[in-house]
Amino acid sequence: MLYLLLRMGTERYALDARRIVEVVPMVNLKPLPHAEPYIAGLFDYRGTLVPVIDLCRLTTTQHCGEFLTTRIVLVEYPAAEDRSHILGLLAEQVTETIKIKEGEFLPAGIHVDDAPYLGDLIKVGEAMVQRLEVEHILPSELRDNLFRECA
Amino acid sequence: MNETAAIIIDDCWNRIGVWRQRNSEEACPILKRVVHCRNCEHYSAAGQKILQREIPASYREEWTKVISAQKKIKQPNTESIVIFRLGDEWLSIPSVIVREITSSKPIRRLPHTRRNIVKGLVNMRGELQICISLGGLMDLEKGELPRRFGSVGIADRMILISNGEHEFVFPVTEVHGLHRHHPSELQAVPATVSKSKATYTRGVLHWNDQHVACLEAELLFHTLSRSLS
Repeated sequence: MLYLLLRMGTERYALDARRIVEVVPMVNLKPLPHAEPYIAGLFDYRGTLVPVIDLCRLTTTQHCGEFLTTRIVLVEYPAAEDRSHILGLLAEQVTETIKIKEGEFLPAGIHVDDAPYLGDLIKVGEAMVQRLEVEHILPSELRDNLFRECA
Repeated sequence: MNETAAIIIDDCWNRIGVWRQRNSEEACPILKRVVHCRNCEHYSAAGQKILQREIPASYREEWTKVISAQKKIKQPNTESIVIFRLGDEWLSIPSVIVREITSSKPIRRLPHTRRNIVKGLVNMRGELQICISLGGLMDLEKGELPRRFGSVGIADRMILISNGEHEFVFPVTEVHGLHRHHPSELQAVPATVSKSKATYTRGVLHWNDQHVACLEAELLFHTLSRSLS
């Protein structure tokens, strides 16, 4: 299966390519005041308002750096009532895809309640890469709020 | 230009890789394994390093505009045609049969030929080609529109068509150029169109408030080669 590699802080993560709609460069975002700090803002994606999550800020205290390799990964996000929305994930070093067989992932062993989106691990070269579970990135409460506004 | 610190890259591919100067230095030992620098991890790492720089000034604005625009969905399986005008009529032929479009050239008349179809011989790049009259073939009436019509297109051209077996040249009043359309856009030929014209027409295309008759290439070649023998 194909995975997109990206970086949050110093660590690398893999995202299932089947969920990805498009990868776009960093664009101007409309900030949402008083929202959670990891919500980078909204942008107009071909006529639809799409909320963007700053993945770096979600896992670390730093925002994503403004580099050419910092990109917005647009994913199908399952929402309530069997509908799905497009969610933007801002991450660094979005430059590579890799093919990983399903069985090659090793269970992380530790499950962090605050970060349910972190999944199994795999060794790529020297580094450990962790799989991102897209559907768990947003707390359910926030998910319903975000997409109610944009629907 | 000191907005970002310069990225220092060791361009080993120019020094010891496949783009090294001949007889200059010894080849890189990794080359034996990877054959070409583009398969080498040092090469791709350098490429990623170049991308790892701050975004240029107007980059975000530009992309914000691009991403907010609707994506143009191209229709698959479109056909390409060449649209031209013959007198008052807009016609088109499949662009695959068009070999060349040239300026008008003198026509050398041939005695004892069917004047309404065969106009004579034309010198096309040193080759003699049979010049035919599409209007004569399809019984089109002489045009009344001014010779130069509209702002686009080029007037008084000759089109050389070929199906691999036969080649013919015919003069046209004006060539508009290429156009792509989906086969489903073709409409049926109206019953009011004269019979001989309808025979050669595959369908009618609505284009720029005009009706363009799309001609059947195979039938065209078949009739032309038959009328010559």
